[in-house]
Amino acid sequence: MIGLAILGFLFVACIHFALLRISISCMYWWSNNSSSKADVFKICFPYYIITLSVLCLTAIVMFHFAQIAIIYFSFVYLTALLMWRHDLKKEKLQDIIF
Amino acid sequence: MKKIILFIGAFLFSTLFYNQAIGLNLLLFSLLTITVLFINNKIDFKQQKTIVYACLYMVTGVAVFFHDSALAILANCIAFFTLIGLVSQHKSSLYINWLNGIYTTVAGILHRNFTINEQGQPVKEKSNIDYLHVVKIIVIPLIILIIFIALYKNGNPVFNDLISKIDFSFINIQWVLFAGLGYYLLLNIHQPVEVEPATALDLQIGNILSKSNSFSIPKLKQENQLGIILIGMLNALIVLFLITDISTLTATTEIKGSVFSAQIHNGVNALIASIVIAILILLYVFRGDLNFYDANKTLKHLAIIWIILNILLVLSIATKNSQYMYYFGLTYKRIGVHIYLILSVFGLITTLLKISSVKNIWYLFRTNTQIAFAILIIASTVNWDSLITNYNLNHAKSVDFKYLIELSDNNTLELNAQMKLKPLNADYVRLVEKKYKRYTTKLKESNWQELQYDNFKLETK
Repeated sequence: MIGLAILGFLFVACIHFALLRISISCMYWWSNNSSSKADVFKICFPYYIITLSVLCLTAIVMFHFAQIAIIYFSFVYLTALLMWRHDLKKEKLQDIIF
Repeated sequence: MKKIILFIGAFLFSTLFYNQAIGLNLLLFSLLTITVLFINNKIDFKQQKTIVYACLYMVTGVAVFFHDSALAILANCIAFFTLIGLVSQHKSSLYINWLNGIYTTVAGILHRNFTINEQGQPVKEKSNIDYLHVVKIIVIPLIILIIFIALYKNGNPVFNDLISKIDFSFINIQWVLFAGLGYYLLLNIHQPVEVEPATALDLQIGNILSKSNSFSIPKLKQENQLGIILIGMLNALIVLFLITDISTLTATTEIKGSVFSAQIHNGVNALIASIVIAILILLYVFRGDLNFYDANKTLKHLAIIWIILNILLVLSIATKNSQYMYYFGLTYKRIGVHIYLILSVFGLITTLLKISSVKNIWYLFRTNTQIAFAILIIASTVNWDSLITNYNLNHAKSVDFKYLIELSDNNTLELNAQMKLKPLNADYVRLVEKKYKRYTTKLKESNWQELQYDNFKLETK
């Protein structure tokens, strides 16, 4: 039973990670004219994160503030923030190396 | 110092909101937000506009304390975003303030860490933190302090009593996580950020309309003719409608509830739509170079007459709605119609100003969002449930008592007071008593964070 739960948790985590990664990558593909990731961050990130926050809050309200919903959607929001941060940090490091 | 303030803020945030309903806590949080913003942005608080918006934010906080209505809570949230947006850029429009406010609230810290300031301020690189040292300076003194407290407790009974009274049982993992959320929120908002290029574009665009490069007299002549015919015909139509409408209003002596209700609901919806379409038509006609065409005087006069006639139409709807309120009492829908009509009048007046002073569409957006915001703040200060109850029981010709019972708890004390003054049906008395008992029990059981003005009213009784 515990194994099944862990497997289910991993499946959900993989799906949510893939969806977030695709949605962030879409931002970069969509603004392929921009010279750097910092430009994409400046132009797209505000609207991306506002939309995601609104969606997460709506979902939490729709699930009547259930604890599991709060934890899950907070996790979604934090993962998205960390992914953007990771992308920008990686570019900063590349700038320093080259 | 700033970090300590944020930590204290986070502790207060969790103390105020963890497992608590809304009440005094939102007012105190408003005060906390203003304090954090003031400490970190003292120059911005020298602006009169910032002080006014901070006061408006406090007014909504006080409104929440006085009557815990959903409208007051919504106004408080919007005033919160407005104030933060204003601190980020005090010259931008209100809707850009909201955008900046929301963005700062959700991701201000990440933005500050990865965006280079346009004025040439470099991003501050974080110095390496010696975490082992941080742990040492927190853990070692804490352990020694606990040991000494245990020793002193045995040495002095008064000290022992004092220590025993300190109760940290309210702190648990969830409480700490909630404090973390508070810290993140305050960390985001303490130095508001701007959404670019939206803010820069907003600052560039003024309110005045300018002539385009494709200014063509023959094309404008055609547009002018079309506008004159269209608005002229619409003027004739609205005059005819107003004559019939006013004659119906003055001729009606006997009001039949169902007929009047259907007439109001169908009529008002159609007329509201017609006013919106009227504004859209005027915006389309006066969208560009026609404003600079020399022979546009007739069209402008016709447009101004049409706006004035539309304002008369709004007054006619307001009269019908007021009649409806007089006979059947106040409801949220009927008050909503009045508020919509006030907004429409302002919308029509600003359209008139746009046409006469050759302003652009951004002028309309800027002015009307400010008006809507002002109306929201004013509306949030009124205890509508209590007002509806008081009006319906004392002034309306007929009362839907079930509607009054179904309103929120804000009218409970008013209902109870009215019940003692007026003879009521036994069933209704029972319902009021039930509502009153439930509400007073809730008030008595509330924590200090959830206190409302009604708590004090109840105590003085």
